[in-house]
Amino acid sequence: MTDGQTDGKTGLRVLIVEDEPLVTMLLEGMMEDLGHSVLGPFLRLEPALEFIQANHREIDVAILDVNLGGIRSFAAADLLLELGVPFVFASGYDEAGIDERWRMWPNIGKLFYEDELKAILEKAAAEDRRSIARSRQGSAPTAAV
Amino acid sequence: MSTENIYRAGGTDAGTAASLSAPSVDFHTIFDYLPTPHLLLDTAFDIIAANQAYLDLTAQRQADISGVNLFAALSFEGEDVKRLEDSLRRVRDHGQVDLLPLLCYRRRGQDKASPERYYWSCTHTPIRDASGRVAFILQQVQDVTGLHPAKNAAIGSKAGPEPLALSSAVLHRAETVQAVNRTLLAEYSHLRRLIMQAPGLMCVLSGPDLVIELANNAYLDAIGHRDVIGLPIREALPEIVRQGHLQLLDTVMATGQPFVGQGMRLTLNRKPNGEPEDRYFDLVYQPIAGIGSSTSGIFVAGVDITDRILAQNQQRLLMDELNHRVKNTLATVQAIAVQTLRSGGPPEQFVKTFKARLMAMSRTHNALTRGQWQGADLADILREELHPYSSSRWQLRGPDLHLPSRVVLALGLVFHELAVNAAKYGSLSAAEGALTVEWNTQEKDGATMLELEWHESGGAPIEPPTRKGFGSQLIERSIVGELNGQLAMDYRPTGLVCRFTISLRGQTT
Repeated sequence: MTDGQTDGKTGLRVLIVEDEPLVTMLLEGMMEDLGHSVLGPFLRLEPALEFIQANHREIDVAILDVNLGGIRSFAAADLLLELGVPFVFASGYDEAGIDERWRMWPNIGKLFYEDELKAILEKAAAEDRRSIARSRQGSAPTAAV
Repeated sequence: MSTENIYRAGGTDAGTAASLSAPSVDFHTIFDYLPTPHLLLDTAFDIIAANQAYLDLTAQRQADISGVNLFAALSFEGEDVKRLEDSLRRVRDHGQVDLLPLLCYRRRGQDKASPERYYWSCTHTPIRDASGRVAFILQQVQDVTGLHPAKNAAIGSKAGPEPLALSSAVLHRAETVQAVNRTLLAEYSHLRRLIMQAPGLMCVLSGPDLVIELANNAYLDAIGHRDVIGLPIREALPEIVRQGHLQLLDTVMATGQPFVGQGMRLTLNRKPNGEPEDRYFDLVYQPIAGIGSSTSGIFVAGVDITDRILAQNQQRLLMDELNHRVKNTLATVQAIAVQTLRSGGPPEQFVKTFKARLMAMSRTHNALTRGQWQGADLADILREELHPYSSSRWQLRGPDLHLPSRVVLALGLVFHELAVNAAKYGSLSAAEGALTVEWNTQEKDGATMLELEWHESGGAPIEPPTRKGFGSQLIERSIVGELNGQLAMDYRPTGLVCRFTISLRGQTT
């Protein structure tokens, strides 16, 4: 599960937190095509939180759905931010449906375009982890990735 | 403070009276000897005492009228009854001196059939008790019969013409003033009623301290019926100070420019326990011009639009939710398309499989829509997926069970994949094959657990798949990942046996 960087160049280890089984399968397929490997996927919040806590050093970047079976995933967002793990939201909610403090955070939406996904993940993963962790000191997180 | 003063000045306090009165002073006697007519009433307008001048004027005896209601003891006519009563009521209810410039009293003479008319000018004075409440009303009467023109003819011989003419002009003016007063009072009452009952909020703040002079029912309603009249607004509604409204009002006072605010949120401690509550208003703070260029106060007018704002918020929430669901559904369709394509096969096969999966999703949605998205029955979902196959080939065994929407959406696709697989490779593909779906529920830790077994038999011999295809991956993700259940796929030579257990607790939409 954590041997994603096999090609040594672009292969990222991508954590997927998403409650819709079909969408997890779609994202997995896309990651495979992009040469990335998947951590998870986690379809519920609790196991996702446990995994992040225990294995955050192995996560290059995370894709986080906002609504996990009726439960908001902002606790996972907070944890990722605290641990300095880059992540993007993948949510069908537009800005109004997302907590105010997370509205400026990158959201790749619910329809996935491989090129866009590739670019945003690579940009996010290239982000300096310490600067992500530092950004939580500010009043509201801005687009750190 | 003022109550205390009035009360002490009245001298009815025992201590004060004792210290004032030398043993020779008898207030009762003084009252009796007063040259002008005086009558003491209680607040029900029952007569307590009349002095001698009053008894003379009315031709009554003390014993006959003491303890009797004023209106029963003495005779007044028509509208005068109401005017007298209104005046006494004002004194009693507002504690202020009230004047009645002209009142007609019918005095019974020897000839009881034709009473004589006398004209009075009355002063009604409130007398307060120790607690400051009006306890008595003192009526002082000035007999002005000699000045009245109507009376003039009757008693013409008794009075000289010169002073009478002069006096009747004065009396006429007094009557005119009284009539104007009555009209003004009626208009004032009418306007006050209009303001009090107006649907919008209205409040008058006066002076530099912005004392609440008047607040109508809608305003009192908005602030939770607190006792605010006569208080500076910063004391009456302390919570608005930190919300910047005192500053706004002060600016209006200073500049004389009105303030207009729309959809303003105010957190008001309007509940009985003082708990804050958000309300929304369209508000105008209109300066009231005083003498010269200064502003003497502020007229507050507004509309409580809380219900409208809440409805808008609710609608926005529904739109967000709808948007979310549509996007999710589209993502699911994208996933089905891409994953179906990945499985390989010719284009015709893709179209067939893709369409079948879309239809399975659509049927689940239909079942949920029939139940207004409050879930659906387990047997119904199974029948939806199995109805293309001869009903002699499959049977359902289990109790009626209503499932929440989220579980229905997940199981709809799971059963579709199981059914398609059975028809392609399993028991529904062979002539002798049979399928039994059996389920039961159990209570565990306060939650309902669903145990279900999908049991195929008599089909073509099968082997465990070498790699996980779309169907088995979807089933595992749905049961284990999404629904936090347990799953066992047993590929027996006689057919697939799929068992799963899921908890129905906490599974909402």
